[in-house]
Amino acid sequence: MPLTTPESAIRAGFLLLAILPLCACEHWPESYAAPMQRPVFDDPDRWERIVRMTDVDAQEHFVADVFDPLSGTWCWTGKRPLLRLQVPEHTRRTYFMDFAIPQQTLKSIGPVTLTFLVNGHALDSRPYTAAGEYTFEKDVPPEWITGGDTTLGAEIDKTYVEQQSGRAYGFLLVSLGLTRN
Amino acid sequence: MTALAPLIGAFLTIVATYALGSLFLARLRITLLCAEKAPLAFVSGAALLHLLVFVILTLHVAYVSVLAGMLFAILAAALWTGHGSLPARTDIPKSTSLIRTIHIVFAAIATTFTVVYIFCAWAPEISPDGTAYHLPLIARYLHAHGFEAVPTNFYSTLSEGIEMIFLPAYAIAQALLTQHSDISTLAGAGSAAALVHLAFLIALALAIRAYGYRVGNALAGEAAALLVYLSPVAGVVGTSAYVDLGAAAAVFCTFYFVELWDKTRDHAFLACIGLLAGYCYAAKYTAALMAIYALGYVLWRARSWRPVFVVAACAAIMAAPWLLKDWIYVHNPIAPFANQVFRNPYIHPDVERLWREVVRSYAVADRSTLPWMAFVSGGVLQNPLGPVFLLVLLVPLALLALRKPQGRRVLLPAVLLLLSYPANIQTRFLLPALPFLSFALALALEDLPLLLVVLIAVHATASWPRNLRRYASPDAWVLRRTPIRGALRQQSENSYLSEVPNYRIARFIEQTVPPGEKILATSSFADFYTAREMLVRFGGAHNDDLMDVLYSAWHTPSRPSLATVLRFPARAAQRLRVVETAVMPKADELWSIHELRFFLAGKEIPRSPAWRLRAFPNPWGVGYAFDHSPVTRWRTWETAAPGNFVDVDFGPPSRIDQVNIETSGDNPDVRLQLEEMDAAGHWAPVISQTEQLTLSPETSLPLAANYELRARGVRYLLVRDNEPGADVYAKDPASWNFSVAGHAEGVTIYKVEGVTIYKADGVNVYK
Repeated sequence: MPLTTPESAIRAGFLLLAILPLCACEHWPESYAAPMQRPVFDDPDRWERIVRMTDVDAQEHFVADVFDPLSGTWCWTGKRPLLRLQVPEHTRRTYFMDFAIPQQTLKSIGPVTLTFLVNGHALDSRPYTAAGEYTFEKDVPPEWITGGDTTLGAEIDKTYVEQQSGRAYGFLLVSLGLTRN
Repeated sequence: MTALAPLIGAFLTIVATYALGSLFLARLRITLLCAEKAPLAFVSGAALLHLLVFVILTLHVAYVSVLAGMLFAILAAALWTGHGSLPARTDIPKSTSLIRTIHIVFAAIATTFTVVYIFCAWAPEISPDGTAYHLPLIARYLHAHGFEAVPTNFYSTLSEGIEMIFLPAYAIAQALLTQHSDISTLAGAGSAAALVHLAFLIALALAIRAYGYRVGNALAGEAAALLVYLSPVAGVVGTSAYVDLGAAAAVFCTFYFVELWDKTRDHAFLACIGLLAGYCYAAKYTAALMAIYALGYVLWRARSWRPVFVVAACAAIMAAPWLLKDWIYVHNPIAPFANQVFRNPYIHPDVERLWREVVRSYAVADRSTLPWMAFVSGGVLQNPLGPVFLLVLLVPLALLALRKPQGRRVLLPAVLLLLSYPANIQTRFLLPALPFLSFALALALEDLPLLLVVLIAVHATASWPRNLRRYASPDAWVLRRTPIRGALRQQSENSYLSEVPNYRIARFIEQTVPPGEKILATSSFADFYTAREMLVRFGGAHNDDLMDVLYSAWHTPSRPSLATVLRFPARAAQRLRVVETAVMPKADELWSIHELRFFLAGKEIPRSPAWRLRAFPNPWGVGYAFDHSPVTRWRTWETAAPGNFVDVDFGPPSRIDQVNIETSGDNPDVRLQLEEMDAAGHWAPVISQTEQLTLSPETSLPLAANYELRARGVRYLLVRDNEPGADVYAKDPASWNFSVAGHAEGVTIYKVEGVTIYKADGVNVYK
């Protein structure tokens, strides 16, 4: 388009203006590769491991007697629920369990006793005579924590057996783990 | 020499600028009156000189020898041709003895203020924006001998037409002071730039005065010039390394040339109009409205496209370099605006939105207080125009000028220029319109010369630094004294500057942080006086990402705290994407993903190098959702909208039965849908069970943030004692693996210590 007249020059100018926004289109990257994976930071002196039943990965920690599907913020256990955690060895930590004993259970089977377990060791036993929400915390002897997989749990002395399914129910587990002491 | 260097640098630049303009006007065979030649030649010369400096920076030959050589060559040419001289004074209007007395009074007031202004500009530079970015960018270009991309400071994307004129003055002053301390050198170079800016203010006042002469309203012209010149906002901004008076001068001179063309219809003026209209854009984006005025006015009056095209072509010569520079460096020709049109990885649209929101209101809840701040107290609008301008508001005297044709001529551009004011309500954004309003005001009172004298006397009294202290708010930025000892360097630069808190912080940074280190901070502190690179929040996308990393580690709404789990029957999928489907109720609601994970039978599928990731918007940040870091996240960085997506192409089909979308609590209105691409290339929804879960807080987030900062080369963090998060870092710096490098002036500098990762018994540990 020769710019011999002002009109053609103006047309050329408008054409250039029209092209200008196209520079917005040219920098789209097609796609990216997955980036380098970052390390997970687990400071042996700072970590704590609490598995809450609401955690997205909670089921990955279940070993035995924790019933799914998850319901709300808790789940039913059987007689001896166990969870597995990865922890550094010989660190000082506190056993922590948040749980509830329903009225219905106590009504059926009477007062219960819970024994709190760490790697098969009995940390403590406590009787519970009333329904309600409880928290149990107690320091764990460092030598019980051997590194790698650590199993935490609790054992209830009596269970409530549902007539229809024959399933034995213990208590309601909310969270379980090791905290800093 | 420390006192003389800035004067020498500024003088050479100012004279060469005038000389270049004179040569240009002579080349066009334009004849001007004596009163108008100096300002019009200076501003025209600035437009041309800015282009020459632009070319020098583009060629990366910005050495002082080249810059000084250019100035001397211009001066030699002007001397050789004799075009630099002023024409004979034939424009002195005949007047009565009363009017002559008024002229003398006005001249005395102007001279007094000029002396004050020279000392203020000559003193070491302390202005907020001057030391935050105008001067640091010049220093950076000179250090690199040319332009360089500064993606961590979006102010570098603004057009820098006035800074280009500062640059030779700065370089010469700096070269003359190389034997002195770094502070003396910086302060001297900064003063040279401020003196050049003062030249623009003087040129503006002279142009207004000359316009009065030209149109036969000499007294109105002089009064209008003084209304602008004495205004507290013009006084403090014009004596600092800012650009607003340069822009205002370019605007008024564009108008002036339009008027000359309209009167003479000499085509030579069209080139002047175009070049200056383009220079308005180069000086300051908001001044570009004057180009619209010029083009519109020329079209209206000429009723022909040919002169419009000439004006547009000349304007393009001035504006195009800045459009191209931004296009090349940040992929957005009008950066830092329109980032949703010209998408780029350097400036987040949400930060642009936030910035625009801030400058539209400056957190002033009661808008009725704005006029008082703009005219009298300054307050958060920084500087007052001066109480006499209340007349414009309370008694719209300027509108009386509508009765006169000349009044209508000046009010038209004033109205147009005021259109941009709501976009940034700081008082200095009124400066481009101020000459026109002042002229209209003076015109309305011209028939009452004694009243005009009273008005100017009141204005001068109210604008005098000692008096300003009495009524301007304490946080207003105004001239409060005449720093004679500081200007003459009888008071050391360090002592003078130490009165400014931001300077003290800048020197604290300089002493605490080793050379070559970068510092992450939430606000800037007189960056000009530290050689360390500051990465300031909202300065650029990189800085925002870094700050987001920190916030993700402590700020509850930003932490990864929620997971949307989508479960579906196992399927072999090659390409899946998560799509946002809801319209956000608030503009500040962004969608973010800390991690996007895929599972089969409860086990996460490891990310493979074969995966290809895509996202819209912000495709550049998609990797943050796949890096296994809990403190990085892909964000839309603009209001989430239906159709936003994150897309994963697995390469070979992968069996999947669960997708976890880990996110924070700050995007509650986002609604997501999982889609799979079918064999035909169409996206189809995946029917899935959705669960919303809460993630347990990770105690290692601070260490993860530390790792990310170090990975990006940031080893220092500067925190104001009163800023959000300051208490978090101060309470337990060890949990972040930060050490306190220093605390002074209400800020703490943390050193981001290294984090070494190694595996022990299958567990990551650090030391």
